[in-house]
Amino acid sequence: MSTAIRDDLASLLAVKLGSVIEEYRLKVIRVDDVEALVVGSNYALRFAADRDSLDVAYIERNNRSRLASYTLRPLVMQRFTPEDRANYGHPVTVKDRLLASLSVYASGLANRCRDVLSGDKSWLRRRDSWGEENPSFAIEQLLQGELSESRR
Amino acid sequence: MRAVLANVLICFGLLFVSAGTASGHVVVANSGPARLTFQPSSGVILEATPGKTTTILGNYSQDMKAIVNELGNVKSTDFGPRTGSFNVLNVPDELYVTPKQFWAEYNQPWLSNAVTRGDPILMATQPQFGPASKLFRLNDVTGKLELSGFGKEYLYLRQSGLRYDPITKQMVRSP
Repeated sequence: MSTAIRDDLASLLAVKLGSVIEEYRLKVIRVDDVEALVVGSNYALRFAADRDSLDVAYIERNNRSRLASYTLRPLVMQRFTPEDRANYGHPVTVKDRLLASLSVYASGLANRCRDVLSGDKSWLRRRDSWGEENPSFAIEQLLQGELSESRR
Repeated sequence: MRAVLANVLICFGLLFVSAGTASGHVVVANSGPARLTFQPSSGVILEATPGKTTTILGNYSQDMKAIVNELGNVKSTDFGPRTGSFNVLNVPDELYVTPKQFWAEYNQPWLSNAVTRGDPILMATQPQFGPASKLFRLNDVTGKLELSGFGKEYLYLRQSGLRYDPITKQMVRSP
């Protein structure tokens, strides 16, 4: 997964999700070539790319100041529509497939997930059903001092 | 989707632990390290077995990326033994065209060699089911889950008579 095939994911995110990032005053933090965070005041979206998929997770700081990560898959499956998925198009190369996936997320997040983007967490009420994971050490370091604690 | 998942679960032969993606796997020279410092999410200790080729599987983003980097990110299509060292799949990027093509031309033959040799197979990522299971990926066209590369690898090993041992975090021959 070198940059020869895939541009830095953070750069691609800044372009493809540009309008969402601007509207919700988010910032993009690079983790490495294939992983990046889109950070709001009380949450972060972690985008991780590999050759055949783009994985997105929601990260929050819980009321014990610990970071917790939840897959966004169920939310995407519930909310994204065929109109969002139509943005995928017909990409051929690995990089084009990544860009196509980002287009799907740009549409789905902007049109179906305004609550998520604005920091509302009611959709995450039953946290145990969202597959909690521990963020990596690198992400822990990058998010130090970021994300206000959740009130449950 | 339920039917697909049910079929997968039947093939896997269990409902809890077992599986992950294959994006990056490598073949390292015999002179490579016998133990890696990276601590994978499964908790398995990445230590090569003397006299054998030790194969490592896992999800790329979560574990294999760091493992491949620690091994020097050596790209190779040599799927032969790496006695006393590690075997991970890490072919040149340009050889990957589609998931189906990559599995047929590179991933399956590479894994088949590992099974035939009787490699110890360390699972850097736990092959478990659940909302965030690394055995599956979300298809952005259909909006449904399908097997990830790691999931295909796990399924292949299950079909080859191996099962995940949650104690050793390795794939072992079923009795």
